[in-house]
Amino acid sequence: MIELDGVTRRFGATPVLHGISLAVPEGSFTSILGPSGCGKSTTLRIMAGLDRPNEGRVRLNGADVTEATASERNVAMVFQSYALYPHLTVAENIALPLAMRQFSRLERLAGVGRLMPGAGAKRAAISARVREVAAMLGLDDLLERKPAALSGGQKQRVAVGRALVRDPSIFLLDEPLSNLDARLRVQMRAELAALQARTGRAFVYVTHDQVEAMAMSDHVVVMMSGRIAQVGAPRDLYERPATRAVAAFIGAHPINLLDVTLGASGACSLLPKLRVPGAAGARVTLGLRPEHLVPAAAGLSARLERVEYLGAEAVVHARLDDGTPLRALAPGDWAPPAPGGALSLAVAPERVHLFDAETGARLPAAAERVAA
Amino acid sequence: MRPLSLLALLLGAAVVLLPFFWMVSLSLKPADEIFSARVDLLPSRLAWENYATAFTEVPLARFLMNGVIVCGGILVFQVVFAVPCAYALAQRRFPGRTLLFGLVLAGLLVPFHVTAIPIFLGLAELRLLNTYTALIVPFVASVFGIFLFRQFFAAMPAELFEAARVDGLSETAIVWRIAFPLAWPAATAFAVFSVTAHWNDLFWPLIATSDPALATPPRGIVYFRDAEAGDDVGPLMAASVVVTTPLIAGFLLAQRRVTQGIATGGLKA
Repeated sequence: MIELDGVTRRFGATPVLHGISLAVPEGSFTSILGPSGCGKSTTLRIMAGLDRPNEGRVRLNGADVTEATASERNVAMVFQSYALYPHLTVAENIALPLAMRQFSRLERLAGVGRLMPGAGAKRAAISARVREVAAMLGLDDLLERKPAALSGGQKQRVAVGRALVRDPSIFLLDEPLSNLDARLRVQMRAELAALQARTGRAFVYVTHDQVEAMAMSDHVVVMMSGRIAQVGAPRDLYERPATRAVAAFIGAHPINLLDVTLGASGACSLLPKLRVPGAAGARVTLGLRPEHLVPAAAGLSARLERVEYLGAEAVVHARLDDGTPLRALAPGDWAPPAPGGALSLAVAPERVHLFDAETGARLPAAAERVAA
Repeated sequence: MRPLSLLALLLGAAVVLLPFFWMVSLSLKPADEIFSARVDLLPSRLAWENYATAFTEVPLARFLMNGVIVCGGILVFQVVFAVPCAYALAQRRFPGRTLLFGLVLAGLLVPFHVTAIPIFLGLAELRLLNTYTALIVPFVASVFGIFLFRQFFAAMPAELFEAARVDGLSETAIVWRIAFPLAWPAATAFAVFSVTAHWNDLFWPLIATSDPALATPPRGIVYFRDAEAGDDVGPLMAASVVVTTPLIAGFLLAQRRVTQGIATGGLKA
């Protein structure tokens, strides 16, 4: 397992990471999710040893590796650009990390190692291991090709193979699927998750795509502007986002965020069924997910703007009577009124997220909803 | 427009090639034709004996071998020093990197002739004059080589080297196993520049050596100039042809790589 403890990183005077503390448990698939520029790649590079924190410690399986170089840590990394060695064949690309480790061991024997009878056997062992990994990833027929002669998906597999060939204590993946087309991405997503289950090693997966993070991970670390906004299982993030920003980031359809002022008794004029005790007169942000906002006989009254028909479902763009835009999700067979027509959108009170309008923090009072 | 530019190019090529053509022609002319009053582009008969004389009158084979040793030695050391320097300047972060690269660029501005005298005195002090060392050592650090390789390495994606670090390669291993093999176009271009410059160099061998056994090809050709007997032009030209041919052949073989290397290196030839 890998742990970050109060890791701060500044580039010049610009702080990129503000005291990140994070533990990736053994055997877990952990995603670091966040918008571009939030520091997720820097975090991964610090785990890999490609970058050093200005403050804080990095521990790998309990040992402090803060000052250790990438080659001294036993980590494997898959890069966004794959970073295959263009002058080596697929087999040589996959074999290199293994060969390097063997060589360093031989070099410790003061150069006599190469002449020792074991060298041939080691070479055979490396080549057997390369073939094994290649077979696992379906690269058997490509071993003698150079990376330039491979498709994007094949390069991706080679990059994974190169990480897989030795037995690293942790796998680090930096947006490995972002250069693939949509169909291949879905396929590789499943393959990577299966691979992680098979190796039983911890995977740290950096992505800006919340769908990838939700679909593959046991744990998701959401990062926002150099800080960890929330850590949790995908379901926690979706059902109980810790801040307004996390709520806005998670979910296939962007959440509706409405700023409202609560009434004297903590009641909300917009949603009469919702009451927040002890928050009378407070400014709060309501978070309503489009998928929880469905056309119904009674509810928020709005006017239809347009409908995006997607087959199984339809995205409904509407405006509340005060002009606030709202997205809702209707079943595909829903018969919409004419554009401009009135409709009602219902939401179950327990599906409503409440955030402090000032700080964006989730309001604990949100749990105490009462049915009117 | 196209035929016009073609004509201009052909004319330019003719002007450049004429001295070479004249050299080859003279090297094949019998002695009496060389000093005739008329200008004959082609010899009346092929006087191969000029070539025989060139090889027997002076130890031409020895000069060629010296050329190979000196140019080979210089090139090997230049690459051994320039490639790691260039890699460090391009792909490593360290304090003073920009300043150091500035010094490399400044070094490009200093002609060798400026430093020749101090280097000569230093070698004399070390009693190294009249050795292969004297011919090789002054050139082992090539700022041009560092510059060319640095430009090449700077254009390579940093992720490639980071992947190598994660894969367990030391920085030295990265230089020779990853960076250098990928810099072949630059290396070929640099080799052509280096070998041409040092194969043709007469200035430094003339200063640093007086022993005929150490003479490089151009230094050796000078031995045909004989103050008493006059210049032996036929064999001189034959020797010149022999000395020039390896360079031309080498350049033709490496031509495409050289253009590629210079284009990628960000230099305009």
